[in-house]
Amino acid sequence: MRVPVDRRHDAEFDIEHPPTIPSSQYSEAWYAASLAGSTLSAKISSQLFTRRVKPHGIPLPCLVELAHDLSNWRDEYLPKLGVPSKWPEDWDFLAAITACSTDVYYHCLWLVVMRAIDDFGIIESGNMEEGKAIKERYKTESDHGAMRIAALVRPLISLELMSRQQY
Amino acid sequence: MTENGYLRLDPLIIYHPIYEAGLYLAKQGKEECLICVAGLKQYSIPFPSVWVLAEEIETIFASTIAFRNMPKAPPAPVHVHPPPASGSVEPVNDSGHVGLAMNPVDQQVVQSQNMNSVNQQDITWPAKPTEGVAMPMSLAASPGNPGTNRDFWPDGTPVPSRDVAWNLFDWMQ
Repeated sequence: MRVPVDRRHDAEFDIEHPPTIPSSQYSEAWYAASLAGSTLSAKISSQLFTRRVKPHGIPLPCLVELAHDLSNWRDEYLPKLGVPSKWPEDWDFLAAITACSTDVYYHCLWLVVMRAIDDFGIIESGNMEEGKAIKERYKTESDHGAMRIAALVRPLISLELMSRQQY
Repeated sequence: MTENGYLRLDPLIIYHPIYEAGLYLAKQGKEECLICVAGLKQYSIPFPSVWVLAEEIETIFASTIAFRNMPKAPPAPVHVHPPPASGSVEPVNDSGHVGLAMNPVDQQVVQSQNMNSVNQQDITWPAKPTEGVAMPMSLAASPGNPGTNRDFWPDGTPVPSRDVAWNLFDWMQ
């Protein structure tokens, strides 16, 4: 529903319209990535964390599809939006947190799926090799993801706390 | 590398991935989970409830390390009791009380209680009932005998909790 705007009121209080955000290539990519990522998260939650999965296990084709989608997301967006291998010196707070959160959330999705596999198990209907292979794949990816998250979080922690932890 | 506490300014955006990663690394027993612990502890300066997550990761990590360093215990001796002959006299336990659960109904009760705590495969039949877990026949609930269930009246209506009862009592005074 469209709310009628009281122009007099606006004029009285000297309220300006919000400035239009200039759409750059970066922000467009970021919006597309976040949309795709939220779709993926919704898919994970609706396919893995349901009542049917809890007693029986996760069906194998579902895991294969998720791995495929996650790899697609990584190939498409992570090189553009993620943290590069060398930490740029000119990054401010906003740039650092944006890049880190994008990167970290992607790696977290593997971890979430891995935890679901550990908790509920896989329904390997006949093909044990494929089930073992997909589990191995998730394991390597989440190993890498967890280490990556730890490596990304490390520069964000202040020095005093790091020294107090002796790390 | 820029070591500035950006995480302190972060409005609780990436705490959950950090927790997730810390949990995974702690289960693997890798030392990198301490970074996640430090990150969560830094979060807990503005958001105190995150401290619990950090402590959880620390506990899991400590238990993993302890489990790994534990010397290998010799295999536990398996006590095999001959199954009691049906219709025999009720067994008497050490303290001399008669009526420890050995009839079929109570065995079901005991086994269902054991299943919650112990893996079913580890139990050699018959399951050795631990003292205090087994209920005498008169207290055990069975299809025919509702038993003394303190949560429901015999007709199925829930028994009010103690606080409700006390309030009612006060009100009646």
